[in-house]
This record gives sequence, C-alpha cells and structure tokens, in this order.
Amino acid sequence: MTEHVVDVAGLSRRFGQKVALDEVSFVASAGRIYGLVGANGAGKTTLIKHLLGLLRAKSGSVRVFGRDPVRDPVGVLRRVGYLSEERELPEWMRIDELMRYTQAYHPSWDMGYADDLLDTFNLDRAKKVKELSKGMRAQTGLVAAVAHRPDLLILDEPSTGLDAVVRKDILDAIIRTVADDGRTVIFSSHLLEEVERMSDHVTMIHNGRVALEGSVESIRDAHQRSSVTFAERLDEAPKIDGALSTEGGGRSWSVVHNGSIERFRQSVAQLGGEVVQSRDATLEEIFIARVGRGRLSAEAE
Amino acid sequence: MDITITVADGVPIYRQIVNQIRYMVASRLLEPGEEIPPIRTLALQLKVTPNTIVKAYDELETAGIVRKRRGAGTYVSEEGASPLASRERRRIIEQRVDALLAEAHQLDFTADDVLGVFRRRQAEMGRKANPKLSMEKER
Amino acid sequence: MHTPTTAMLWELWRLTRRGLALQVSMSILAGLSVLTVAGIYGAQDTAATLMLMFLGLFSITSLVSLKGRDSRAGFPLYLGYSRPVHTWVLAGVPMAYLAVSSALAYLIPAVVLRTAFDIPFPLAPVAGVLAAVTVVIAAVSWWTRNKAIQVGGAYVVLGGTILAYRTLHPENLPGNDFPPARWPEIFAFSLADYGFIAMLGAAAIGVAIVGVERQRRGDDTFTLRIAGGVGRCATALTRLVDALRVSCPTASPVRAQVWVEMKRGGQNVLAVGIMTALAIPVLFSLWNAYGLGFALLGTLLSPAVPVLVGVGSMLGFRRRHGVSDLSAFDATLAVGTARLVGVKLLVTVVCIFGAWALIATSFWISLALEPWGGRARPGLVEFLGAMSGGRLVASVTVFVIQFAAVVASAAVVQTFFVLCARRVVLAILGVGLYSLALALAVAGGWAGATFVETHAWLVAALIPMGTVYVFRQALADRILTPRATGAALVMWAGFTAICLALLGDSGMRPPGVSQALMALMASSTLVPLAAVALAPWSFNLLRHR
Repeated sequence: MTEHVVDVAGLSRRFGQKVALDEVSFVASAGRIYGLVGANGAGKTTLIKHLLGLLRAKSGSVRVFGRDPVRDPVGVLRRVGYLSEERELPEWMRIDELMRYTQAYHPSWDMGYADDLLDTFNLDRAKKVKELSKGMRAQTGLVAAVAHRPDLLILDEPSTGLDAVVRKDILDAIIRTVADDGRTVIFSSHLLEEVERMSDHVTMIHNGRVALEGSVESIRDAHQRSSVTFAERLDEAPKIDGALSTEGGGRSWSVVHNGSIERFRQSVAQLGGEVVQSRDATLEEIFIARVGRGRLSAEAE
Repeated sequence: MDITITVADGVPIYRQIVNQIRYMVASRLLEPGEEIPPIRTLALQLKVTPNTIVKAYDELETAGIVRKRRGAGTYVSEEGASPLASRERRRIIEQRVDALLAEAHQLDFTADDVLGVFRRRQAEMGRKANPKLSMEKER
Repeated sequence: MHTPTTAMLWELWRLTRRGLALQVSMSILAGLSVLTVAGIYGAQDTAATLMLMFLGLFSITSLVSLKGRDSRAGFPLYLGYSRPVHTWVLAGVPMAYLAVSSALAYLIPAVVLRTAFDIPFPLAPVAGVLAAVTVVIAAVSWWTRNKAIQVGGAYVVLGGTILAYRTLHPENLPGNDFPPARWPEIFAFSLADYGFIAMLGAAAIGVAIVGVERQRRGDDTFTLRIAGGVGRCATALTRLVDALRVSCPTASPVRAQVWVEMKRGGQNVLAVGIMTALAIPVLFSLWNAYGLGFALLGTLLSPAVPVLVGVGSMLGFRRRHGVSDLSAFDATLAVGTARLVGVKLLVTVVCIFGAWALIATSFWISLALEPWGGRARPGLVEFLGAMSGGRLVASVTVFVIQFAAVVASAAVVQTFFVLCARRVVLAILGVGLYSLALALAVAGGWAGATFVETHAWLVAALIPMGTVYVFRQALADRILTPRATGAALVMWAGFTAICLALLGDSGMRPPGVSQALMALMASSTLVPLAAVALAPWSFNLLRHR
C-alpha cells in the first residue's frame, strides 16, 4: 500500500487543564475528501493545527507526506494549501500583491489558474485585503490556498458565516482539487449536509476523542432512525437497546440507534412497542444523537 | 442531466444518482448511446464528492446500464437497451406497488380493497379528457 | 449597579484597574529606590526633579490602558453606542473618570514620597494640571477617527496650552533652575490658575462629547470634509505611489519576504528617519534661538526614534482582541524558521542604519546652526580623525554586530512575551529588582567586592552554557543546519578577533579591572553568537507550540 498523505497516531494535547485531543488517530490517503465534524471546541482546529505544524505534537506522532511538519516545515507547507476559519491574510496587502507574495513560496504556483479564479470571483486586484467583505476575503484566501495546486488542501470551517454563492465557490474548489488530479482535501464544517455530500470519509470528534469515523455510507448504514409506537403513553423516554437518542412523547417516539436491528426490535417489543418505520439516519441526526444533550449513553457502543 | 439529491431521507447519495439515471434510461429520457456527464462535471453540478459519482457510475456499469469508453467518457449502453428498459420499468413499478402495499397494510386495507380503489380511480381518470398518467420521478 | 453611570464606572474600573495598580506601585517603587540611591550619593535634588517629571508623564499614560484594548481609532468605548444612554453621559463619564484616575495616579505616589523623604512634591496644582492634560489628550484622540487629525490636534492643543500658560505666567517658567526647594513657590497656583485649568478641562469634555455624538450617528463630518479636500491630493499621490510601487518579487521566498518586511516595517523606519532628519535642523534653530533644553534633549534622543519604530514592529505580530500573536498566515509560510526570523531582523537592522545615516547627515548639516559658534564640527572631525582608518572600520563593525545582537535579543524577548507574557514580566521584574537591591547593597556598603565578583563569575559562566544549550536545541530541531552553525562560528571568531584587536590597540587593560570583570567581558562576546541561535529557536517555539 502506498504511503498515507496524513498519518496521525496517538496524538494527545492539553491546554492547561483542558484536554483538547486525547489519543487521536487519523489517516488520510490520496484522492479522497475527509470531513471533520464536531461541536465547537471539540478539537477539530487543534487537530488541523497539528497537521500544519502550528502545534507541536506533545505525545503521539504527526506525519504529513511522511514528514514531520515541525521539523520540516518547508517540505510540508509547500505542498499544502490552507484556509483558516478566520481567513487570516495580511491586511495591508493588495490582492495582486498577495498572489505574487504567495507565489514566491510555492514553485508550483499556477498564475493562470489564480487569474481564472480571481476573474470568476470578480475580485478587484488593486483592492487591499482590509477593504474586502467577508465573502471576498474568503474567496481571496481560497485562491491563495489552491493556486499552487496543493497535494493536500486543508480548510478549517470554510463555510462558516458565508453566503450561498461563496460557499458554492469553496465546494467547487474542493471538488476540482480532488477530481482533477487526485489530490487530498481535509475540511472541517458545522454544516453536516455539506459534509455528507462532500466527504468520502467522516471523522467525528467529541471532547478531544474520535467518537466515530468511517465512510459516509458505513456510518449511515450503522445508524438507523426509527419511529416507534407504544401501546400506552410513556411519561419518560423508553430505554431501548442500542438507542443513542430518543425524542418524542406520549405513544410515539423517534429513536436514533445503532448496532443490531433485530436486538432493537426485540427491545422495543419487550417494552410493549412496535417499530413503525426505519431508515438510515442522516449525519446530522447521528451527530446530534452522539454529541447533543439528547443522547443517552453514548459510551455504550 | 437533471438529478436532485436529498440528504434528509436516508438514501445514500450514490444510490440516489444510480436510481435517477436508471429511471432516465428506462423512461428514455436518456437514449441508448447517449453520453452521460463526466465525473467532474456531475460532481460540480451536484456538489458531491467525485468519488460518489465514481461509485454510482461503477454500479451502473456493473448493472450493464452504462458503458465506459477508455478516455472517451461514459455512455448509455446500446446493446440490450430494450430488454433492460422493460425489466427496469417493471422494477420501478414494483417498487411503487410495494410501497403502496406497505401503506395499505398500515391503514388496514386488504389487497382487494386496494385493487377496488385502483379500479375506481382509473375509471374516474378515464372520464377526463386526457388520461395521461403522470408518473412522479423516482429518487 | 443601579444606574448607567455606575455601570459605566464599573466597566472603566475593570478595564483600567490593573494598569492603574501597576502604575501606582511602579511609581512608588521607582521613587523610593531612585531617591534612596540618590540620597546616598547626595544627588537627591536632581533625582527629585526627574522624579516629578517622570510621575507627571507616567500618570498621563493611564489613558493608554483604555486605548490599548482596541486598535479602532476614535472613541474607544464605541460598544456603548447601542446602549440607552445620552452621548454626554457616554463620553462625559469616562472623561471624568480619566481625569480623576490620572490625578490619583500622581497623587498617591507623590504623597508617599512626600512623607518618606520630606521633599515638597506639589499635590493639588500638578494633579489639576495632569487631570486637565489627560482630558485634553483624550478629547483630541476621541473626537475623530482620523488619526492624522488626532496627532496634529494633540500637538496644536498641547503647544497652544503651554504657550498660553507661558504668556500668562512667565514667572512660573521652570527653566534650568528647578530645585525642590523652589517648588512651593513655583507651584503656588492662584484661584485664577485653577479656573483656567477647569475651563480647559470643561472645553475638552465639550469637544469630546460633540465628537463622540458625531461618531455615534455615523457622520464624522469634519473628518469627511477634510478627507474630501485631501482626497483629490491623495488620489494624485496614490497614482504616484502606484507608479513607484515595487511589485513583489516571486523568484524566491527570501526576496518576497524582504519585500514584505520592507512594506510592513522597513519603510516606516526609513520614513521616521526622514522625518527625524527633517526635525533636527528645526530643533537646532530652536535651541539656537531660545536655548531650549528640550531641543538638545530631542536632538540627543532622535537616534532612538527609528529604533523604537523598527524594533516595535519587526516581528510583524498581529494584534487582535488586545493580544499580539503570530498570524497563521505567517506561521504557515513554506519557509524555514531561521530564514523567516533572519530576514525580519536583517531588514530591521539595515533600515535602522539607513535611518541613522539620514539622521547623521542631517545632524552634520545642522551643526552649522549650533550655538557654540562653530566649534562642534571641527571638534567632531578631530575626534574621528584621531582614529586610524582600520580602527574606525573595526569599531563600526563591532558596533553593527553588537547592535544586531541587541535587536535579536529584543526579538527574543518579544517572542517570549507572546508565548508567556506573565512569566516574562515576572522575570524582568525579578532581575530588575534584584539588580536594584544589589546596587543598593553596594551603594550602602552592605556588600563587598567579592559579592559583586561572584555575580560576575556566575553570569560569565552562564552565557557560554546558555549558548551551547540553545545551539544544541536549534540543531536538534533542525532549525539551524550544521553549515549555518559553522558559518556563525566563523563570523563569531572574526568578531572576537576584531574585539581583541581593538582592545589591545587601545592598550585597555587598566590595572583596576578585576579578573571577574575580564571574564564577564570575554564571555559577553558570545552574546551575538547566542543570538544567532536564540532568535530562531524562540520563534520556532512560537511557530510550533
């Protein structure tokens, strides 16, 4: 098997008392899109910062293209494109200056591609970064992140706070990166529908741990959302085997559950109920069931 | 190609694509020999990961519905298009009937009851000028 | 918090309390130690005069603690615009608070020093003046968001006030003869004086309220009108600048970074150098005409200006929410840390020397205006001529390297300050206090020469150990290549050789210099070498936390 693009093993990190990452392992191989999901402060950004070498691995190891991003920043960062959540760019630079400046660091820079994108986005090259709106800033940051055709594109919550047009631009850039030359994309997002459409592989981080990971299909296959009706009204949520979250009231409840469906049906039957309808749960339902307050005992697999 | 993806109803995205292309082939919205969009184009159009399209096209090819020509795109199969189409049409109708029967069971209708309703509705529609049965597109 | 006013006062207190506490305690500490030491050497009068100036200037800076939280120009408490409060409350309450707090920041240390040393530090008069000046400065910087107008306004208002006061009270001119014994006489303010101060303060508050009201309603009209007038000139100027615009070189990361560092900080240093160079002849003519001590002081301090500007911004930290940090954009540039820091430091040092060259030229030209009847120039020529060419070059080389080492050390301190601000402050405070205690102990005769020598030996031993440690770390983390380390060593050897040659040349080995001091001097030649590894190593800690 070929070398992984990203290989994180047993990575732990704490900031003071707070455990930001706890024994996280994460592997990415070429030509695929990886979605990172998790609540605010779950550790997604901390993981991404480790990939960029902005944080030093205190325990565990981080390898990007087989290299340590801390000891070999040039070797790693040259082949990486990065768009941060805050879309940090030097405020005083003009867009054209930013492009030339970024080009100097990346021998593989494709000025034609950058120009095409700038034209598509209708960005005025003479404008300074500080004069740009939020969306234009994201577009500018995106061009700076993809115009050297990076082998690995890392986007930290690229869609947060943007309008539909700019979100589409960003998704297009992700798709092109993967479709054109089989490069790799890692992106984190709160928009779970976007993650569901866009990722080949999803990693859900919760309280610094990998709560769930796998291909979108395998995750959805493993989780069902069922409507359950009971003969009698229930005052509190029924405790059903395999249930991750139970919502509803009275006789009808909707349950997100994983594990064996047979066991689930038996458990419902024992409680005097009937499964009316079952389907694969969506990522959003799984996320809320796993991470949200409605979850029962998520630790019980 | 007019494909709609819904994330909310729990059907895997690649399956939604497969189903809709199968439907288009069966209903002759896609002619035999017609080229279907390249992976990149469809991925950009639907805003889904290209690998999903790859998977859908692979499945369609295995089922003999499309044929890839090396370096020249993907086309709706010529050979066996008609038997395939008829089989496919039956499959789609069967799925509909299955859903109808499940619903009927839930509402305490017997199969005969359903058949009765079916006949009556057909008769009522026949009285109207143009008995065009509009079939909803399947996802 | 029952009323908006108490709520605002609470907010102001929370925003400023730390700064005020620091300011008051530092003032008291500095006053006590300086006056004690000066007392031992019998220079208490001079020290007291300096202390009075220091306290006065320092207490005005309480404004900064309010201002420094946000880089936004204009009224700093703009979040209050959406609160249900009249603008006169919104602007008036902070004004009053600042007046009182700056007066207190002076009064508390003054009272302490008064009682401790029996020096008649004036209370009400100076406190009143400080309150008024604080309010005036606040008004000038709050009433518009246009920074140029703010700065210009500050000069005009302060200059005007001082001039007005001088005309009104020529007898109170502090001149050169300014001993504490005369303070009660100099600072005997009449009711009319206090009236003048109060009027000034009230006028400033009025101006601030009008300005804040305009900003609150989104029409900083005065600024807009000025901008409209300036706009046309600015457009022409922008075209000119655009024509002169050097586009970013893309051939190599180093060249691109040099370009960025020039745009980000270097050109400011040069600009400040030009401005300072232009100011020197003015200062000289003022000096010539009025014999102003300030003009001399200004001339002597002028080389510090480009240093402060350059060193202050050299690492390009981005300030957000009141915290400086390395921006992710800089941290993720595909370039090694040593190169990243090296270019920053190099550009800063080169630009500072460029600015100094301008200042020196201007100084040389301005010497024609000096008030000693043309004696300074020949004196300077003679002084420089006494040195041989080789010696001059060697001295300059040593100075340049030492200065670069100082700049690099400043970079290290700045880096660690971002990494762990509290510990750095504590360390600096600790070393400062310890040195102070040491100085006091020596001055008071409580510590003998051996005690001091032990310290010298200790530091002399620590520097090489630290140097070796940092180089080992830097090599282990692959920040420095063995080749770069070798080059640094060769350059250091050259530097040491020049230092030794200079020392031997001057025959400097006075019999009074002890072995410990010699060891300390020898070991301190390692500092430039240590800086070569220390600056990238510390920056690397920041880049990869």
